[in-house]
Amino acid sequence: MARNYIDNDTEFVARGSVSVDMILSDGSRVENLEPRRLFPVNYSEKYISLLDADGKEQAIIRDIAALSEQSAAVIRNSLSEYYIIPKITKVIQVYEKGSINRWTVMTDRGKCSFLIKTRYSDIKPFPDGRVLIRDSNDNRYEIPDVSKLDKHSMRELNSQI
Amino acid sequence: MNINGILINKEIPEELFEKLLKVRAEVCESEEKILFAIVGDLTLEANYGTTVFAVTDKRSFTIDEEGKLLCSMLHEHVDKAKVKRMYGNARLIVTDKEGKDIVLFRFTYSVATLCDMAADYLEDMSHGEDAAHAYDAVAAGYEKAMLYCPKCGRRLLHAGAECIACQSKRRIWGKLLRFAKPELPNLILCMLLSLVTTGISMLLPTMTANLVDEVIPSKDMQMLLKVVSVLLSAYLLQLALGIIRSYRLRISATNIVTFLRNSLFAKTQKLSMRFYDKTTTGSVINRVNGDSNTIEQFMIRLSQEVVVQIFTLVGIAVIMTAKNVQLALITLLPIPFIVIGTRVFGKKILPYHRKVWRRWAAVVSNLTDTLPGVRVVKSFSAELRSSGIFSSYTSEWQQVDRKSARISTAFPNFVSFFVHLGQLLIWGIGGAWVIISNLTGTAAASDAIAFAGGTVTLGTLVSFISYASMFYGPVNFFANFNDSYQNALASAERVLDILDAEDEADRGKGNCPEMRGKIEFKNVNFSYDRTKMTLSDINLTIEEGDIVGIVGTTGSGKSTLVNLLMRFYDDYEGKILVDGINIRDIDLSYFRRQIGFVQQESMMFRDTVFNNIAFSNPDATIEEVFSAADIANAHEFIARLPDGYDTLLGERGVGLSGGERQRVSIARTVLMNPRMLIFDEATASVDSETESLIQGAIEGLIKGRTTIMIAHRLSTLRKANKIVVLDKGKILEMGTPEELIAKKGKYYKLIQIQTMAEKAEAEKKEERFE
Repeated sequence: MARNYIDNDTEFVARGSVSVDMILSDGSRVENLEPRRLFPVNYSEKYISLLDADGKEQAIIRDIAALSEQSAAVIRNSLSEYYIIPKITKVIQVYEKGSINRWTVMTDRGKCSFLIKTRYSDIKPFPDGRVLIRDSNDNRYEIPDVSKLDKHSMRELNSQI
Repeated sequence: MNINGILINKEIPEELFEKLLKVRAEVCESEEKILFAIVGDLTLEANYGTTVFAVTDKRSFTIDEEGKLLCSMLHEHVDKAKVKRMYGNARLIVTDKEGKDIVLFRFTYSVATLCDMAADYLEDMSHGEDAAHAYDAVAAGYEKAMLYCPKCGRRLLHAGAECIACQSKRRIWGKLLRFAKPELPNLILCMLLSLVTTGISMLLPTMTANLVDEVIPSKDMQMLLKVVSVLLSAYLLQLALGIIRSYRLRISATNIVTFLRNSLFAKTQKLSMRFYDKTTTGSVINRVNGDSNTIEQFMIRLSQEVVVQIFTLVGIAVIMTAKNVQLALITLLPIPFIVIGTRVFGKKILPYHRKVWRRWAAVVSNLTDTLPGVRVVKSFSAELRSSGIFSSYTSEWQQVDRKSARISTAFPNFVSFFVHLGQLLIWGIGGAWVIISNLTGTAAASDAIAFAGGTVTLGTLVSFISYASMFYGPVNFFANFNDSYQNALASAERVLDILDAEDEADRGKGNCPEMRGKIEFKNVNFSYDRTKMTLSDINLTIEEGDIVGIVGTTGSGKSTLVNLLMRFYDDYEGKILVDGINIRDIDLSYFRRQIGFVQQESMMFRDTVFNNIAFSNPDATIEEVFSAADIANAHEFIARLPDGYDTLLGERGVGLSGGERQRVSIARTVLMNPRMLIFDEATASVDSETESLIQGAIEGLIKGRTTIMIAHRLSTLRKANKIVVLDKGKILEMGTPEELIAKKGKYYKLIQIQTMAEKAEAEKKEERFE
């Protein structure tokens, strides 16, 4: 099976909120594809798999940045509809008592509060300062760079990371 | 060893040796010489006793301890010779030309391998093989036999190496001290700092004595201020030095334990499979975890406190004697008791340390072995039973620990009781002297002063109390030191068990020949435990690009065959060649990289799917990993996972099915791009639909590579161009599938049974359908 990698000769247009249509360089059209990240954690802009309605992979975008501007916007938009990973901008409170570990945070999508189940496996710091958080309901949150948070947030986080 | 030109496996008394020579002279022709002799440990009636089996170039004979000839046999009469392994003993049996069996020699397994070799020699000689060649094989066998420690029977690293179990304790520590070596400067610095603080604290009681005797009675305010400020600055200095020292010491300790732990882990990765056959993972984990800590703590104690405590001990003794000999003697009175007590205590406590550790290792083993099998436990509703077993282990530990506690907790308390007793003596006798000396002028006072060796002032008394408590610090330390020494010694032995254990043999390090994939087994014999031959007489040639199916019932030696090819076990007899090169002569890790090994249970690491695939080739690019996953039919299901290739395996919520794991592990193998492939029941644990997916994956991988497939389901072998049927460790049949079917042997039977079973199943399905 030869894999179809897309670099820059292909255009995309939005179809639904998540799905897109792909227009190949020869003008043929592949309809109703869903972009998915193959590396949602490590590369948000690279290796985007395009799945058809049956879940079969039709192509892989190597790097969104290589696409034309409009196409890139279409893909980014589709991905941002599919992947909801609120970015935490401020940690208001980390409440810890017994086995309860409740975080109240401000994100780019608004204020929210969630429970952490296991501190050791659900909070994943990366060497570059990024922290990924998974709550007890398997929702994901992201702190793009811990060192850029304000002092209060840092203090609250200190015992968690 | 070699005595007067006779190869012999053990030293025997000279007397017996002479008897042996005498018997030779009686039974043999004059120019015959004994070539080799095996000293056995059983008589022909299976009682313990020395017997000697001797072989010349014409005959073999056995004598007993008294030098009586038990039997003798000319090589030319021998038709077959073999060792029959029984339970706890074995016999060397020869069949003569008339077909009669004669037992030549009886022995325990300690010499069984040598006897195997002797049997080969007898057969070779009777069949007229080259005598020199046969003798060389025997000589090699003797050399190999010397690889065992003559004292305890453990395997040695190389011939003549020192046995780990029999070495002295000094050597044990000598080996472990290298882990402390990089920290030596830091440790010495800490020790010096500690000496300074101790020195200061030794001088302090003298100053307080001065306070009590002179400054306060003389009501000299200025002097008081002076002394107090000197004391204060001394305490401040101690504080500063103490902080620095503790910090640096902690750093050193962490460094030592990290070094030790890393070395231990690195070593566990290099150990042979033999080691893991014998040792439970739990006990290895315990060593990496706990024992390394114990050793580190002990090393720190050894490097720091021993010197400091001795310094304190001597220093205080000197100061006290200088001040007042009599009072010093009183202070020292309980010491002999404590020293004697310590020795007795040490002897009693060591066995307990070992017992406690062993029980604890059993607890940990139970834990590490049961938890992965929790599915099995649940499916049999055996949770209670399983907890019961665990608690029986912990309660065993609890009981032993309780017994050990009775001794180990009482002892320090006794020591401190004696310490207090010593202080009481000082208070009592010294106090009396102070009181009496104050009644100046009386006869009793001058007697007392004379007896006490001078006036005993209140200040002296107070300083002696301080000294005594300081003095008992080191005494207490040395009393408990033995305990921690024994504890650490036990840990050290266990750690060295791993550190000194034999690495996987890698004789051909650096030899990385280009490989094409022709595999040959030549006269391979192998046994896991010296009691039962798991493989015997394996002769097999696999041409480059062959696809070989190995079939046989469970326990027929299929997996063992593969284990030998993977070089998990290196101590087989015979040769395995790849492209004509003995695999033992090839660089081990290079060799293994040439073989893709897919096992029945595919192991996933706690890491992302991507890293799990890239495990076989960490330098692979992302797209190479994608294509490997494609070939393995894995990319599609991975792309559908919410976290894609970033999915962490082994975490809550994310579990791959058996078939998915198998495909990930095949992708891993694909990425490695090996010359040869081994599938050990790769599809045994998945349903037939997944099997066809995996089968597809396998076929994508095989192209042009030499492949060995072990399979129960013969349907998986449809691509094989050669089938080997194993039975009880021997090759029963071998040939193309067509040949074997035409032969109507075992393979034909197996095929028939399976097709019948499949038919029956298909019919059943149809019935249900109707």
